Amino acid sequence: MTPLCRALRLLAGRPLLVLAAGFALVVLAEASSLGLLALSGWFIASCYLAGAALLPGFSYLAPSGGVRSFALARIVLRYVASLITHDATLRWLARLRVRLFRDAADAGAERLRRLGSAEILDRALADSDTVDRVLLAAVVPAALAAVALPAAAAVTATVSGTAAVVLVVIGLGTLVATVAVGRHSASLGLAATRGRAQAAVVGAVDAWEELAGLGAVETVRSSAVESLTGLTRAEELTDRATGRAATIADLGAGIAALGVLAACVAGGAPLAPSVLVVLLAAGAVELLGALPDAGVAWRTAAEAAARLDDLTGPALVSSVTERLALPAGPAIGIRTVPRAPGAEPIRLDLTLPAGSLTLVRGPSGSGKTTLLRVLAGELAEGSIDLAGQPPAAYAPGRIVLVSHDDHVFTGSVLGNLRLADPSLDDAAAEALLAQFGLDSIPLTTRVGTGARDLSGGEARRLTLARAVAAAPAVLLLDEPTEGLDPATADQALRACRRLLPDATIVAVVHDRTSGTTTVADLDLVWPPARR
Amino acid sequence: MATATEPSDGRADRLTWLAAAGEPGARDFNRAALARVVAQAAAVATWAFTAYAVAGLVHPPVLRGRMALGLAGVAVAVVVRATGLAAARRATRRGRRAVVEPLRRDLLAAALPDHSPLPRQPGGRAAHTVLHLADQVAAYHAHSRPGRLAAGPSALLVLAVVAVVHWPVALLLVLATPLLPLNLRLAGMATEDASRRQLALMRELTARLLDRFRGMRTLRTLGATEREERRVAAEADRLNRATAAVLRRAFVTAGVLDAVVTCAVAVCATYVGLTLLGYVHVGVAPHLGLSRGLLVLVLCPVYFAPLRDHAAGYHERDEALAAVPAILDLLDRPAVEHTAAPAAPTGPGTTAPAIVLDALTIGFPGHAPVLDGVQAVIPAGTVTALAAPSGTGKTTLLRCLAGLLAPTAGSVLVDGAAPQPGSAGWIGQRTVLLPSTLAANIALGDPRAGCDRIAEAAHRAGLDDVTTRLPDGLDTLVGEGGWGLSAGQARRVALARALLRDAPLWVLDEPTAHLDAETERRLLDSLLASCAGRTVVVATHSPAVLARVDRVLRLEHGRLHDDLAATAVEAT
Repeated sequence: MTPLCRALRLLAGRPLLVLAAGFALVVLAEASSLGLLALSGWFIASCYLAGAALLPGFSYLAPSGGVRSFALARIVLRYVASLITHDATLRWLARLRVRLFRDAADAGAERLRRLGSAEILDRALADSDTVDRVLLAAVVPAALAAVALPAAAAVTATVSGTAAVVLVVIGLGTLVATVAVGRHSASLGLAATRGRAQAAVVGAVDAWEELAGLGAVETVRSSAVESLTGLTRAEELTDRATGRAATIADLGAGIAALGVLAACVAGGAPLAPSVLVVLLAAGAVELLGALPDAGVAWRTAAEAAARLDDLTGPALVSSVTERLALPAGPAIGIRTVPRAPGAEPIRLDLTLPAGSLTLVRGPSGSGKTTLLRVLAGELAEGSIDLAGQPPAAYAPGRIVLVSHDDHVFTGSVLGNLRLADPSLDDAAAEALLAQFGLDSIPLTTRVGTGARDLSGGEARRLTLARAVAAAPAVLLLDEPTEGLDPATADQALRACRRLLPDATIVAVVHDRTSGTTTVADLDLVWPPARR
Repeated sequence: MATATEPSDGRADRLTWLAAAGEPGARDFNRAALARVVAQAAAVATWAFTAYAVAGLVHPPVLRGRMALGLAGVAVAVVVRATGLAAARRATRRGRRAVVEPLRRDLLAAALPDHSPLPRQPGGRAAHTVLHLADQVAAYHAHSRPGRLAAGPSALLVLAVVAVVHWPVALLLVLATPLLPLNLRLAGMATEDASRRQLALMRELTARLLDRFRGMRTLRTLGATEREERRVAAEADRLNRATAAVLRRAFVTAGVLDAVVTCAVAVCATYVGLTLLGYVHVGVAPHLGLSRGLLVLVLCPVYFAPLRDHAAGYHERDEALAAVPAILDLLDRPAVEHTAAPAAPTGPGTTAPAIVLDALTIGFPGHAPVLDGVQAVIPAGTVTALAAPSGTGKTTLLRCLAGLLAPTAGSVLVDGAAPQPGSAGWIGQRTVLLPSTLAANIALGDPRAGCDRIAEAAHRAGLDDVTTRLPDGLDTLVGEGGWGLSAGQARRVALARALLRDAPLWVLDEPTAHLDAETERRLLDSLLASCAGRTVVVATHSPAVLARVDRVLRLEHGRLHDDLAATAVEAT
């Protein structure tokens, strides 16, 4: 199944019903539209014949009532059809976005790390929008043309078989030619070019301060201008290919209408029905004109869906269904642990007592962070025993790992704390912040994108306070004191201990860090001597 | 972003700007309009020949010549129409490019200014404006301008033909016309406000969604993913409701137009039919035959078609108008003016500057000053550490020294002049790597540097173990946001840039954070060796760094404390 079809499956249920209803209305509205003109033509021709006494027994009342009915139906149906098809589209978009979020939440650590890049995320969201557009830009117009052409041919056949054949042959020919040209325009890869230009602009703008410091703003700007020029060119090329397809469609529509007219005229078909089918055919083949744009929209959406799949493919969906509850402050048994992800696990047979605070010291690259990730269940390597089970067996939220670059979410300080504990009230939040020496920061303070409006030390302490608010059974801290002066660092560690008296806490620090040992029950040098 | 200048809310101003933005494509759009009028004339001819040929069916054997002539006419008209439309599309394409290219260039220049913008826009938002909103403006002009220019002549052309054929129908069309622009304008005004609110909401919710993705690891460890998924779904619903409100109003525009066109066709059909039956006769009207009757009927929708394109333009104009404030917000962002252009890379021959801080005060509106009357002299050629508790404005002071932030009051003088951006080698707390090779990233410090100098800078910054581990060494691609490199490694890339840059003033913000003791010692060796003949200000907590600098300044409660100059002397 192609990625786009997989995305279309998300329509299942209510959005699909809404879409089907919307499409039925679109077909009815278009039928009213074509019917109005065709019936009007038939009506005029009949009136002419009746006026010349060539059509005895003709009554104008029924057909003119039909004209009025078609007119009213066209007005109402068009408005309602637009609303309902757009409603289906919006519902689908919401599902696409939620799916993207869920896939990301279930993604493995490495993919998650890739998703952390702003450039890739921006592209993923833009891709969702592109996929979403396929309904209105491709599916509905193509389906409409597919319904209209046979319907018009069927009506035409009742008047002239030749005309019907001409209509179908030329209509199909136009369809094939349009699709072929459209396929070419898709091969130009506009979406990828746009993604690259986007990445170039985001990267350059976010690096402005450093670039200004380096005097490199102009260099980077001109490289970004280059990628923008490339984008504009790619847009124009795609436009040109679409234009060619549109010209083919214009010609095809004209020739099909001409063919029907010629067939009727040459065959000497009766006047009033001939007028009806000529007008009907002309209107139906006009709908083919929407096909080039529909083809482009489909291709673009398919590309976008493929990229989305690449990012958070179906293989990543987590299979774990039922998880255990972890009791507070378990003892941690470390039988084996690797030095780095994928490395050979080393046998240690260490036990960190229940409810203890352990300080792990070691130089960079000694595997301290890997140890924490294994303990948190992020890496399914080594052999760890938490109250008799591996870490991954427990429900999320009970083992909290505060990484050295833990994310601070845009919004308020309070909003960040409430991520960990939605029921946290203002007073409790203020008390919590005070424990970390953050009482000077009001709860409603906006932290800015990536915590730019907080200092590094404030952001660090906020992530610690947030982890404590989650009330975990096991708290794992990666360099909690980095960026803090020794007094503040000591205060922060003591706060963690005081607020989580039962939790088992493991903090890893650089070997050169001093002055944070006063609260530690255990002080390990990492890596410890092998057994 | 509280200090962001609110662009004028005046609709007239935005319309003026929008019109001016389309000027570069004006010539091409005029050509496109001309081609469209030709195509419209061909469409009229198609129907005229069709009606002419169809009438031959009344007495088939008699009128064969008439039918052949009609069919030949239709064939020619079809080709002319397709050619005209193709020419119009080509000209429109050129015009669109002519509009979008300079606009994107200007926006990019505004997003990446030479001078410090206040406040800065995040990259994702700026990119949205540069790529998407600029294209929206160009698309509006491309879709609406040729249509708007062609609408009048095209409609007049049809009207003239209808008047010649049977003037009472022309009168009907003329009477129906004023109903259109009036309603379109009203609907357009109603849409714009809702559309602006929807745009703002979309921005906000998208930013929040992106932020959640970035912090997904944190959400997972906190056990908050399911709660947040529900919130994402709820926010998407909220956005959908706002969008649906915009669409409901926008579709009224199309609905009104549909109603007018439909009624005109229905009324025309009834009138022509009853006239042919002889039930109706308008006093001085000319005789109406079959061909003429059919022609005026099919010309009714043809008459309204260009006006309808114009109406689609109204909707797109609302979209484009709603995008204008975001574009102007970026274009008109006030920059901190500096007297000189950014300094060029300087060689080690330049002498180290002395720095004088005089009553330096920096504050942001609505907050207590971050720095309050800081007074200090940093002698030329010294290495000065800036020590302070976390969150007391060290970074702000460093930004000020590097010329990236202008003081609210007081002054910073580097060798007697206000510091210029680019005059100081800088390593920030957040190193952003561009999506390029490691070597190209280092070369940002000095674009003229050759491979050997880049390799040397990488070596002196302690990047050797990184380059040997990467698959292509210095030529390995590194991603945006420092992806693929650890925070410590990114810091070393920034150090390598500063080494390559070789500026006489270095401003370093915790340069040895995230490095282990051995790497820090090695790095500090090369750093201090390179500091000879330079003035260096380094914010740090590291005892290893503090022990090896010439002087230590301590910042507390927004002030530098003079008594600590004594510590500095001790440290020396």
